[in-house]
Amino acid sequence: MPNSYRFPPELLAQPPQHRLNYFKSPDVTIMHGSLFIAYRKAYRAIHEPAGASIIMVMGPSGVGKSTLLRLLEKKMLESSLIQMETRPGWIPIVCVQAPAPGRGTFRWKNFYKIILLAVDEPAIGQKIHYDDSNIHYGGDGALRIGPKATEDALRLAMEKALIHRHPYTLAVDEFQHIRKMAGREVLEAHMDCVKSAVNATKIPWTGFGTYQLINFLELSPQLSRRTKTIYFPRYRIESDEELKEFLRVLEHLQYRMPLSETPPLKQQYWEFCYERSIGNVGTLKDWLTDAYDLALSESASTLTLEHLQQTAKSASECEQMASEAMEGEEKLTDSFEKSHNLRFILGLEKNPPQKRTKGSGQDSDQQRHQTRKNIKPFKRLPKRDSVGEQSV
Amino acid sequence: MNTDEFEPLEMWELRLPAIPERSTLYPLEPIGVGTPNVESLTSYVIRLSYEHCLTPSVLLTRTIAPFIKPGYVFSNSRKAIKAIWGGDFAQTNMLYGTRSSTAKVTEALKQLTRRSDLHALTMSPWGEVIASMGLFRHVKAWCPICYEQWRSTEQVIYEPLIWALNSVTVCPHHHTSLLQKCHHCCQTLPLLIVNSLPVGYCSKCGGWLGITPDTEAFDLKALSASELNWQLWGIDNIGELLATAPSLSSPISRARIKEVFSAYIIHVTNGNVNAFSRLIDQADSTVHSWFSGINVPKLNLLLVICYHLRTSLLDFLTKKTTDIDFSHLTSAITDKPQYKPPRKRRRLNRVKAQSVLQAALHELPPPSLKEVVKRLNTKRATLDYWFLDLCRAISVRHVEYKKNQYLESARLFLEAVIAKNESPPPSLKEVARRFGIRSYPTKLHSYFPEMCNVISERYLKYQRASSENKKLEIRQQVRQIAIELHNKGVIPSSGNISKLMTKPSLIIKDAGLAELQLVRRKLGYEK
Repeated sequence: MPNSYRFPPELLAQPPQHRLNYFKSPDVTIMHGSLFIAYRKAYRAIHEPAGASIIMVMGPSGVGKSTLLRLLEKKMLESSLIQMETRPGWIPIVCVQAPAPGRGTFRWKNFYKIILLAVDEPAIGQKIHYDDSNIHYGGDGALRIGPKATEDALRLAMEKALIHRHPYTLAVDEFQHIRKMAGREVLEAHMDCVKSAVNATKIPWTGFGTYQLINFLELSPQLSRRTKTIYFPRYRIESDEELKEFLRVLEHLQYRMPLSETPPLKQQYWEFCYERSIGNVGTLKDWLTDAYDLALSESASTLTLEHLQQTAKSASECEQMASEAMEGEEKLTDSFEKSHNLRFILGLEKNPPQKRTKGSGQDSDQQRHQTRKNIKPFKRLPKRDSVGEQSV
Repeated sequence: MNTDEFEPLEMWELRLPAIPERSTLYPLEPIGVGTPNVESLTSYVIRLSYEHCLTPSVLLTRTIAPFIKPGYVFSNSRKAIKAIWGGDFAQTNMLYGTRSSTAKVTEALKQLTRRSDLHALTMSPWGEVIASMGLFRHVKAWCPICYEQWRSTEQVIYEPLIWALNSVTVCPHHHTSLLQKCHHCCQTLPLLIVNSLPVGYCSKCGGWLGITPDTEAFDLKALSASELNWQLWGIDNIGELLATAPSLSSPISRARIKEVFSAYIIHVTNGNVNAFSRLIDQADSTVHSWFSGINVPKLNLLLVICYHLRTSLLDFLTKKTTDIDFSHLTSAITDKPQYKPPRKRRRLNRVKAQSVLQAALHELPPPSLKEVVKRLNTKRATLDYWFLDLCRAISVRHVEYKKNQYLESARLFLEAVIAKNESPPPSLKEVARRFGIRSYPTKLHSYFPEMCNVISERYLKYQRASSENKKLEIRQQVRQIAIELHNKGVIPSSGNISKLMTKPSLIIKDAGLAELQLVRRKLGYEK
């Protein structure tokens, strides 16, 4: 077996901190299957938004969305280096993180400030909004300039900054924070805010967030028309391929650990590893780092099941994570259902969709048990009579 | 689970690459680079500060000034800005101008925006070959029709550099003379303003400077045909000069003047400097000083010279001396010029001068001494030398006339304001500002005490009435809310009431507290 992915053997002689850092390696990521697919999709979507105002990258928490963002940022900067030399005012991509509101709904003013800081805008605290009401001669004859750095002023400054710097996109991590504590109306208002910013600047936004973002799409058909979604799912055990990929990642990680004896993660402990990471590579990596740290502190020669068990998340935590993820995935598959419904409404589909209960069987089962609603009397079901070799 | 061959996964680096430094300010595109309508640097700075949503003074003190004087911390005040730019008019030419301070500002902006064509927005490429004295006007001049046109067609409003030159008094597009006084407040505007108003607005009264051409109030000084032609010829040449500025790799050196003059002198008059100076209608001493490199000709004179030499200004300043065609000149000497350039001053005819001065003393409206000097085509110093008393009398008369005119217009203005009786009534300071007086209206008050008092009284009455109204409102609110609370069974304390008021902090006002006391006493909460 080639050893290029393995740890360099001389690491074993080095102090534990070095070994931990090697395994942790925060600046390197494993390009596993779903990360690669999501990266390709996102890269293509950013370079060619095709009329989309917002690109949403959704996935369960811990799957690696922030890593994906970092990867995108790096690749975009790399591919733009030459152009940046000739265009000194251009910034290819602006990456920010949406601040959590703490108490109450999302604070736009803070967000605008964060964006302005990300583009290195000078004198943020002095921004004013240039319109009649802000600069005028007051009742006593002096030239009055309105208050500085108000929300309107910062918003205008942000729009101008985006217009002039003209990035491919504004990438926002933790996009679901916008949704915090917002009822339906407030949420609509927030999304309108985003939409008008995109319209004014013609720069699409890319939001990275959890499955809670699906609520945004359900708000209005107008919004979902201008939104492009990219799913970054976890590895599910139902699919053989996905499980195979997960095991591949696990094996890769086990070989990467600088230990005198390679731990048999893939061979023996894979079920437990899957159980407590629910298929998220991000969670898995963090957990293994923690376990490895524990093993190092005990100067163990290999990683044992006890190490894993001691550092794993509790079962109830994982249950919560899993149900959250599955709820999101459920909504996704629900949307496939909706597509079937749509086709039926549009007339592309003869068979009306079944009401689907959770955990029921495949579509083919449903078709066999359908009730025929729109059948006129004396008309036989077309499939009933055999034509040629076909028979029902 | 599966026993396949292990295929290792790729590992990708996440560290960001080193990117070339981004410009601090947006690399805004200056308007008209490479054309005669190129923007001036001040207009560019104002537009740039608008794009950054900052006032121009903040942009100057926070970003540009640190480049020029590194290490200092600048406050926002006018004083500080004067300290950076210099306050008197000679140095306010800076942002257009030809001195080294312009070079510093241009360099600073070049670093900040990473644009290398900003030197074309100033006259600095020609700084060594055109005299800076008399190059720029002291006040702003603009074409109101251009402004109005740009605004109505939603184009970017800017100030072309060509409007700032003293030699240009006519708009290149509309052939009407440039305005120097705001038509709202009749004031002249200084060249360099770090006011916060955008380009196209009067900095003293805030009014829009554009006028639609068919407005009746518009009254442009009509130009004679020869004057107009001379201006247009001059504008063509200057425009050519401005248009080639971006393609110059470095400013033209001073030696060029000597070089080009020698070439002409040798070829046209065979080395006879005096004959040459007669040819171009200048004083011998002046030409000698140019030739020896002591002085540099002014723009007006340069235009005259180029006219006589049948060459364009650009060719004069840049064309290789070996390429110049001198043959056409000898034949052209005897031709009468198509339109006469402004003439030099001639010797004074004292008898004629005296009669003219006497006539001016009785003329109505009284002319200014400047005007009379122009009529006689002489220098003021000469007139003063021979006819000091007459000159003084004329100027005194003129000044008094002007003063009376101003006072009359002020009186009419005040009467109009009083008659209009607007609501809410403006304060005296506001009225003065509208008229164009920026500081305290004490003089206005001393000339028209009754009218000013009327205005002030109205304002004061209004203020008092509105404050009374506010107090009444507070009282009403407090009373109402207190009674409501009392009926509900809640104790009407100041805290409870203030929460329910439209503006909670108002309860602290005397009126609020007094009313609260009153109501509480009535309702029985206090003795």
